[in-house]
Amino acid sequence: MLSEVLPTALNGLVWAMSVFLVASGLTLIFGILHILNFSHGGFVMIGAYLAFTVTNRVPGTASVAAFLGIAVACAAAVGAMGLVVDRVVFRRLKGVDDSYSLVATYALLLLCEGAVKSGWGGNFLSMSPPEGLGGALFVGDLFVPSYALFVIAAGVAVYLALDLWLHRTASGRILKSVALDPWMASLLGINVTAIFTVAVVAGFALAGLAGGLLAPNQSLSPALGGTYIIQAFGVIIVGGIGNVRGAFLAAVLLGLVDAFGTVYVPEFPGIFFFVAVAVIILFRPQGLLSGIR
Amino acid sequence: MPHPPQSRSFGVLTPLVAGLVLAAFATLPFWAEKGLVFLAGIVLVQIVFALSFNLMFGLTGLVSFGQAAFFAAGAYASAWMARSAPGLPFILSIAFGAAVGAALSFLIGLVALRRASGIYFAILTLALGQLIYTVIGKTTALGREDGLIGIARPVLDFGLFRVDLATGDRYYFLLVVAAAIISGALWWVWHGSLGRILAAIRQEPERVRFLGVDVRRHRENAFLISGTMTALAGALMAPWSQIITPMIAHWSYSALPILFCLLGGSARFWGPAVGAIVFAGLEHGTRNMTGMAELVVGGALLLVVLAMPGGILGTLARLSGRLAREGAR
Amino acid sequence: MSLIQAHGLTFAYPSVRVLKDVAITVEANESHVVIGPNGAGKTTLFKVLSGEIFPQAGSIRYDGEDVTRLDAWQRVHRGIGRTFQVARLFGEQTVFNNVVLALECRERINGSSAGRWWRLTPARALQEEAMERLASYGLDRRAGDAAATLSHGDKKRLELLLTLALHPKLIMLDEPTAGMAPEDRRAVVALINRLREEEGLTLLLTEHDMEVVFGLATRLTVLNYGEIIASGDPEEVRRDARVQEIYFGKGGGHA
Repeated sequence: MLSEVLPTALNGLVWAMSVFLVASGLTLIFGILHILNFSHGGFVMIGAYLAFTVTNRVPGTASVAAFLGIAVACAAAVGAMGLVVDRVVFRRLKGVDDSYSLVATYALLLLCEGAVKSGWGGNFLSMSPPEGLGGALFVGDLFVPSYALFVIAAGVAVYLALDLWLHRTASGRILKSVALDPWMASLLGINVTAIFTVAVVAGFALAGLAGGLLAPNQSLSPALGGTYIIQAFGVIIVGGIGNVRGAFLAAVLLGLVDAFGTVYVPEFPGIFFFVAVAVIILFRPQGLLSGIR
Repeated sequence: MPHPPQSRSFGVLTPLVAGLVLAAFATLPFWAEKGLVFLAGIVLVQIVFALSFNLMFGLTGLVSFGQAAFFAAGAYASAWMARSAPGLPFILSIAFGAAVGAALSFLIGLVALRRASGIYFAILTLALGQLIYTVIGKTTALGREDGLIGIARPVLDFGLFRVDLATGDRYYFLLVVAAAIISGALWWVWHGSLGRILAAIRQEPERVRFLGVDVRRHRENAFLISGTMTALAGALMAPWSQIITPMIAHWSYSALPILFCLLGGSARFWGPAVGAIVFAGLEHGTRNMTGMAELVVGGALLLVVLAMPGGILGTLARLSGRLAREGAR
Repeated sequence: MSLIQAHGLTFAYPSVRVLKDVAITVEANESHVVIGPNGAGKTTLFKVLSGEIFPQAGSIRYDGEDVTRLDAWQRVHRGIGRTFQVARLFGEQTVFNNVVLALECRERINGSSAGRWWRLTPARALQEEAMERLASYGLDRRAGDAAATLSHGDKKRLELLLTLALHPKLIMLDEPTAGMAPEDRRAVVALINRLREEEGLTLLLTEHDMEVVFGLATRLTVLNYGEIIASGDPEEVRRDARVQEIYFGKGGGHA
């Protein structure tokens, strides 16, 4: 029995951590700017495609160190894109009606998809995990791919780092205060516009990082952006929008529910994710946790 | 006692232009070539799609990012019904498509309108719409990823006489008539009592709540009407294009009505229709370039939101208002 | 029997307890004013009593019926009206259309044919009633203007007009004279007194201006940090030692 439960649970956790990596930046930007960035999944996708290109074009990038380095480089690159997006789009959305800003970021997602399609074509591409993470470990009786363990470790690491930053550092506290009351924060002399930009760049950098780290996880296609964003949405809405801790919990919960559900109903993979989101929202509309945390 | 002011000017210009456009559509097969007629049929369907979407967007103030799911539901349900029960009168398979759309919008509305937040609604309609897409793509009876092909244009049996819609442009004329009727019904909702309440809900939901209105129920009803009409549009389209694939349920297809509303202007009833017609030219010109469609649609949407929030009709209204003021000086 | 009987009302946001075990009654045809320093919980109390939010504990009885779990719109059906500190109107619509809409809502509540959702244009009778009401408030000259273009005072009067159009028994007014010039304030006091005396309405309001408070209160309740400090006859409450400390201990004759 245990040998059946553990692999499924493992799959669930891998999925959960990869979705959390995607959702973390999204929920951060929403928590501070109150803009729901539909294009977040698109930028994760761009990060993944960039990692793919660099790994394939530049020789000697098969090691774990290179893999991590490239992921960080993708984070920087996408973070820089975030700077541009903040300038051109997000600043203009200040005070704009919710429905319009939703459409604007939705349009950005379409642009991401179009850019990937024109740049890399519509075919499926794949990237192998770096040497050192390509094999598997034996944990008791189980055959666990090392890359799966890496994803789980990465997700937990990013969560801890974010949690630490937001709750224990001065800059994190400034970020939270701006999230709670931007007007008050500006009265206290905080440059709110600059903080907003920091939040956007951080969120986009997280997207790029997620893309770089997760690139070996699946086959790349222009449809990835949409898939990522929907999963991220489900997680943040169940976890409580703007709440990083909630996103982490929700990711684990939904990941396990979906993994076990798929075992029983394999014809419609992924359907339990939607069912779980709908059921949880029906009974607890505000999500599991609330407020910026 | 003073005279009440004209509460809403049903001016002369709007019905005149609408009538002209309708006449142009209705007479198209007599003066345009085949390809254009086909495109016009698609545009008529998209006009209905956009007008019903705008009931939620422009009138009630909520963006539904999964509207394509209703369109697909109507198309697939009616096509499947027609195929499974060949003797069934056409109108009943269309009605079945509309009923499936109604049931879906009822269920999705229950979850997505649970909280009074537009962001919440946006996320859930996107996610649940994508669920429909996934289910359609994996269902064998609906053709999985390949969809349904060879959908026949039906024969209408009125007992005393029969009309074979498969010959010539006959189905096109059905589309014209159906689009006119459905648009008329939507026009009635928009300009009538329900529309007034919805517009009020968009502006000040708390005030409406304290006028004794169950705001959530009204939003759910608006969503129900919107979803049903969208499903009708889908059901009518299936025999026109004769092939339907799961792509018409994909979230990117939901972008089209949003774009038409923004392009043409969502504050005025006919704005989405203007947007649909204007965009038809753009889309037709770029259909062969990979990735171009997303870039054009995404770029156009972004541009319109940032630079032209009122859309074409809104900008025209502002300009004509400015001209009127300057003329009065 | 009191029109409103509430007790044990408790409301808290995640980290702040705003109302702590509050008990309050409102008698028919009284003009009950609730005062207290900023942050005392007055608006939250109003929100809870009107059904805008639900308390975590406590109960509210209106006209003998337990309405604690009823949403605001259901309480409106039973005869409660509410105006807001910042007047909520349909700014894009004309003043006339604002009133017509309120009347259509009333007809919908009554279930009459004038309120049916499929009607295209509002009933003639409603349109005429709207003009009459506007004329009685002197707003008929502005009938064709967008509601957003009204002056602050006119907006609040229009909002009161909308609320009264539904024939409520009890109206909750959240700072009805906030932001008004002195002449406007006195006009509002006179209007509220007239509503109570001639139309038999019951009023529950919050206010900061003491002249307004003592100009129309038949009962005064003082709230501080989510707790009731004193309640009863206005003159007696004014002389209560704890109330004096709250207001004059910190200086100034303003709430």
